Amino acid sequence: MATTHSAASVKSVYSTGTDGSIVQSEDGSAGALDLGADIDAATFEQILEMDDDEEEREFSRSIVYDFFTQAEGTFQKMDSNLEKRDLEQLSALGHFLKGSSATLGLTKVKDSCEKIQHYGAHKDATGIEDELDDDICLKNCKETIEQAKKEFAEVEIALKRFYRDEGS
Amino acid sequence: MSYRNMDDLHIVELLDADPRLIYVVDRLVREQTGGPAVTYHNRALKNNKKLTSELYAAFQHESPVRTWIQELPKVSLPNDETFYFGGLHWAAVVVRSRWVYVYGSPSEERSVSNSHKETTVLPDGTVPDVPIFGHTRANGSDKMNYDGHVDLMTSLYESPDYGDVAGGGITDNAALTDALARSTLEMTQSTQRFQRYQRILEMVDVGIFEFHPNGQLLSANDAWYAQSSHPPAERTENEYSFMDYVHEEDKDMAFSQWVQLSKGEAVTFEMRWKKKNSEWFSVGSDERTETWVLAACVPVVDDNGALVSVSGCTTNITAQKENAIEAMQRAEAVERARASEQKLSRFAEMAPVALFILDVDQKVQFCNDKWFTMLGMARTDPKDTDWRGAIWHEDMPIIQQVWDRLIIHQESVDFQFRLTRTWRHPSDGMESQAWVLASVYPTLDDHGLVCAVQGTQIDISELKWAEKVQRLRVEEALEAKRQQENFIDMTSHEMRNPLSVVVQCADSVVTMLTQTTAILDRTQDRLEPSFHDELLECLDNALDAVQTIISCSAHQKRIVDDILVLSKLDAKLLMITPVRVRALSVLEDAKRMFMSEAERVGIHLALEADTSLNSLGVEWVMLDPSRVLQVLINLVANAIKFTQFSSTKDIVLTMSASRTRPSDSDQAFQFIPSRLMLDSDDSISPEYGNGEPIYLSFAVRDTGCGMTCEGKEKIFQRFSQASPRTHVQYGGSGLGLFISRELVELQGGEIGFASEADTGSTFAFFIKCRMCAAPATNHVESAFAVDGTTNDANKDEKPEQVTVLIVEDNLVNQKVLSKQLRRLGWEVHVAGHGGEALDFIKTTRYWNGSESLGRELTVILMDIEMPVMDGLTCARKIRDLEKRGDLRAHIPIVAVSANARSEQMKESQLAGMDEAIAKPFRIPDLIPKVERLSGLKRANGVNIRT
Repeated sequence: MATTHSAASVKSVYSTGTDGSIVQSEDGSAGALDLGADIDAATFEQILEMDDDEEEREFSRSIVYDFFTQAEGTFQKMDSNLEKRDLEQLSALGHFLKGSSATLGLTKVKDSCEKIQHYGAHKDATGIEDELDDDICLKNCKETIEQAKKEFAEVEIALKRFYRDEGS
Repeated sequence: MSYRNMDDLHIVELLDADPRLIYVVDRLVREQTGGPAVTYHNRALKNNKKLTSELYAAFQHESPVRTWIQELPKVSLPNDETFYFGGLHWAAVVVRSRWVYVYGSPSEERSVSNSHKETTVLPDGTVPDVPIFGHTRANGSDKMNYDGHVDLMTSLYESPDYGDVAGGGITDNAALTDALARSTLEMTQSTQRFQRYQRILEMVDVGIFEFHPNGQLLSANDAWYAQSSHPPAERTENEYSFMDYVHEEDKDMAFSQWVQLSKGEAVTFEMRWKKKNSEWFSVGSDERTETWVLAACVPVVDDNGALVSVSGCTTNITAQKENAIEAMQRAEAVERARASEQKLSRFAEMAPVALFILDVDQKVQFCNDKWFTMLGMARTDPKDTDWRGAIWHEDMPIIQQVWDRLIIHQESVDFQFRLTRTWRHPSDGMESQAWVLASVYPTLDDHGLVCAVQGTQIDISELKWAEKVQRLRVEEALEAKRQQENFIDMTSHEMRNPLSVVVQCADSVVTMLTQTTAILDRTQDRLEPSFHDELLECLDNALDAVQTIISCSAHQKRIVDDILVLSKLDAKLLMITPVRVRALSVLEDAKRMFMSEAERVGIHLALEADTSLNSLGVEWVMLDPSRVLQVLINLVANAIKFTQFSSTKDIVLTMSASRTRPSDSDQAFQFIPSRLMLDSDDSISPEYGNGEPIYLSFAVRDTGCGMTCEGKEKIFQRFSQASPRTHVQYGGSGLGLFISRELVELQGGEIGFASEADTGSTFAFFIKCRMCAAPATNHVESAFAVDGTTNDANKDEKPEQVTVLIVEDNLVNQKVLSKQLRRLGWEVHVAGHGGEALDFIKTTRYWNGSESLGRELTVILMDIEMPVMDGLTCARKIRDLEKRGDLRAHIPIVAVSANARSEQMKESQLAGMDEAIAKPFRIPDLIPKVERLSGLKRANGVNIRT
């Protein structure tokens, strides 16, 4: 059993990116992929490459749907913390969602989440200048959360279409 | 004609102005009169018409007065004898033997003025002679100085009555008498002065002469005779006799001067008389070939401008001439010496070479400017120069050594040293100590001791710089080459191990697939036939694919092996280890190895043992079977590759032996000359024992596609194939034959081949070995036992299993990263935050007490920002545990941060993390970090696997 495992691992190491004949080439999938400007294709392709089965795309699908769940939950938490005026929590939530959206290459969502992180930490959008006024910070957070929701909704549609299309 | 100066005054005018009665007689005999005749009478005489006619009449025939004139001496000095004629007393002066100047004084005049009688009675007129002898030598003037005349004239003009006298007739006798007396006195004084001059002139060796216009010498003084060696005038009647005594080279010049004179021009010139050997003058010890004189000559003309005579003086200037010549020669010599010294000193100053002379106390005696600039010193007096300060202190010992050699051994020395002054390269601005190349040699005095040291120096800073740069470049190039080789070497090692695993795994897949097929066969009746067939087909396809994997991997592995052998060859690490072996076994092993492969492609592989083996009794030999086999494998593999598509598929391996070195002529093909010169038997290593040396030849003959001529030249080169197409069709690295050649040469042999396109090729090689006795036991050492590949230190090293703990709160990221790392073959564990991570660590072998049962862990990938416990806190806690000893060793931690900003990196480092990587990262960036950390773990000697 150990041998089998080892063989598989060796195969994956030395076939990825070096020998195009064994796994699907990056070029091939890049051409087939069109998710719009909101999603960084190169990053998302890395996720897709990890699918063992290109038909089912079980892995990436699960990741993406996990992300949907995660994002919806996070937005809910953001809304409640907006009411509680808990800027610190808002910042942490922004950071949290930033990480996963970055992993999936959802650039716009990621950028907005970063802003939320900064506003919540009493900073300006870039995270450089201090903004000590809570009201302004909360207002900034609120606006950006709305923005992020909108952006998320867009990528959600695109991604759902991608997987529905793949599935059918 | 206007009279510009006194010189132009004609003597006739003077005579006409004279109040005395004067006439001139030409003593040359006239035909019509048969004697001398009066040629002139002055105005005073003309006034006395009666006396004039009486006088002319007296000369018409033989008369007392004519006789008196005729009998006057030839060379004239004023005659004190007077002649009474026509009531007057006449005095006469003979000039140049011919002319007689006669002047008269009235007899009553004498009686009237008695007081003046004496002076009038003795009128020593010298007028005609003065112009000739008054010539002065001192100023070299060629003009006449009418000394006597001037005096006379002055006295005449000064006379208030002169006008009346000139006007005609003697009106005032007293005044006239007075004037006459005065002029007579003047004349007397002049005569005396003249005689004094003449004596002085004789003393100072001034020659005086007078020539007749026809070239006959009329008179000359002793000095002149001495100079010219001319015989006395009395003894020479020849015209131009003097020409015989003029120096040959000056004759033309002298004659042209004469011509000038005869035209009435005065001349001054230098000329030479011939060597003196006159019978008249003994020259004694005077051996000079010539006498130099300065001649000043004037023509003397009569009233009508006709040349009367040529007079002049000559001064002996031989001594001056010789002095002048000598002085000139000396001056020229001095000038030449000066010029040559100047030339040398200009060389010394202009040369781009520093020149110097030191005395034995190392003091500078001489140096040029360049020497100062080269040493970087200001120009000073050489004697005060302390040049030691200019020399780089580290190189002072060199100077001392050189000095010792110079002074003690008296050798010339060439040496190099550095200066305190620095030198900056004009383009790269690199600054370094200036370098000087010096040549010094000792100068010895009469006693053979060193008295000075001369030397030259040139600045070689740039040369040194270039040398250094070149050396650096060479080192860099070698280093680059070495690194490249290392890289290839390393890469090859790295590739080899996984390839082994690939082949291994593929083999087990084949086994499993075969088993599956067998199972399928057994269960055939339990399955639907269509399902069964489908499965069978799948299995077949899988088998095919795996076989492809195996052959591809095997091929890749061979290339890698070739590279490794090559790098060992390059590093001279490949040793030849001869062992006792049955000669034919090597061939048999080769055949056995390729038997199955040959059969698969339908090639008939045959062995041939040449009769020479038997005839020479070759059975057991000492050789390195693995190295021979390696070559054979290469050749046979090639043969199979190039024969598999031919219509005739035969490969024959032959072996033969000979006592002499096989050469091209013995074989039908060409050996590539060995680059190692291993010709003599002595060159064979002692490891071969001491049996009879023998050459074993191996040949692999195929019926393949053969090669064209162009291809033949290249095939034994590194990475070279017969044609670029060869690779496409047959694969291969192009290293095989190159390696074969190296191996054969290492064994003292050569490799070669013969090939014909479409007919086939024969590759052959021979090696040098020694025969040996058969082993006592029946044990047969098979060459096959030694694998064709080399012993490899890393052979047993399997890729290390990496176990990683991901500490990451975001589920999505957890999943993605886990997936990625698992695909690397790593074992992945996940923790949602620092607390979970600590819990996990307690289950690993690091934890005290879990050494044997605990889990593996290679590295932790730690996110920084996490709920519950963030990455920094977690890392600190882990390090604390290590310090307390709860953890047995250092666990490598890689910080994973969304912020790649350096302060955050630093923060993580402070928290005890070993590495950091920015999120999102690419896996290839992570791998080297993890490898480095796991390598460190090993290097630290921590064996946590027990």
